[in-house]
Amino acid sequence: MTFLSVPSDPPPPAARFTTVPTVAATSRPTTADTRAAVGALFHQHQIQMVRVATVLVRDPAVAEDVVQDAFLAVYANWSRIREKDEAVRYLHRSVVNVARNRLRRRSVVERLKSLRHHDEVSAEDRALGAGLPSALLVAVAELPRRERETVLLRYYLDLSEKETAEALGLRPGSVKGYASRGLAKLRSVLEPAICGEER
Amino acid sequence: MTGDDILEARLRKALARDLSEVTPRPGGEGRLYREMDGARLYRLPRLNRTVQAVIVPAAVALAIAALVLAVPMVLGVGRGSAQPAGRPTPTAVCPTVQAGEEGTLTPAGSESAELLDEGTEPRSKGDLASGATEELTTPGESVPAGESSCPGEVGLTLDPDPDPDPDPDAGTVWSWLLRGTP
Repeated sequence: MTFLSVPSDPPPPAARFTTVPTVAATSRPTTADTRAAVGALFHQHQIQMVRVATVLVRDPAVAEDVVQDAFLAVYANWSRIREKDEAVRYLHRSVVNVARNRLRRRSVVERLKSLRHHDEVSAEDRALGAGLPSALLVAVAELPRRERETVLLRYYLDLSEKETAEALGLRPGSVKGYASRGLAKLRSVLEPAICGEER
Repeated sequence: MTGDDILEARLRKALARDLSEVTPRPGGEGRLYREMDGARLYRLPRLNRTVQAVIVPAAVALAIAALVLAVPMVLGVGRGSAQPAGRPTPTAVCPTVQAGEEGTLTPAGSESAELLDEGTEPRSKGDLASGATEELTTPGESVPAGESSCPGEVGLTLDPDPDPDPDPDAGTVWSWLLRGTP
């Protein structure tokens, strides 16, 4: 069965939104159809989504759970998905929302823990220890939440401003502002790399 | 090309390069299928919106009503309020047939069986007049003088202490459940 093989890399950007199986608007999907469609979606987008979620929640294991929950949300709501690319848009929104929920829950737990233990590790130490492989990803992980989400969706998933706004529940103008501010904060990390590459 | 465009292009490239090192653990797909099966098994059937609009409020109202009724019963609120404190339970007393008299018995549950208060003498309805026809549980039997008109009892007039050790749970749901009747 083709769904059981995990690809080593995500498909190229041009092919991302072209082969997502969708439901015909006239017929109600059966459970087997839905499973197959969600399986194919998972096969195409899981790795990419886990990468985004890893930077969003700064924890690879939690990121995998986030992505699982997002795909289950897609599965549960598959009967409402009508258009061709709607499943992918729904998936992006789900990943962002589930990641936000996890972060909110974690922040409450950490606040309660910090009341008991004053020698907790700092957020920076956590980000560094979260398995993020580069200084750039650590810098992205340390951006404020909306800037972090915007940078990842705009510059890693290559979504347009409109698509990013839809996934994040923002206006396109706000997305432009968050992307610009995020980019400005990352400039210090990016410019040495640029200089290094130009040399 | 502006400086920001160059920076954006660099950021895209750097993100793609750095994030390619983040790889999920294998087995995620099998887990997804298992969880999809679980979601299918445990998903409740979707109800029509109209049915939801009727059933859900009705169920909530019933649950609240049941709670309102059950809480006082379980707590025993109002227990013992059916009779005043210190007053014995009225009991049905069989009239005693006095010496030299002959009585008439009527079957249990008839108007001859009266509820008497404490200290009240047993009364008859005038059925114990001399020469009256005797009637026991089996009509036609005679009752000797000095004996109770109830079969198997002698001179029972009033139970002075009907319940010396009253059940503290009397009147509660638990006692009803144990005894079978309220």
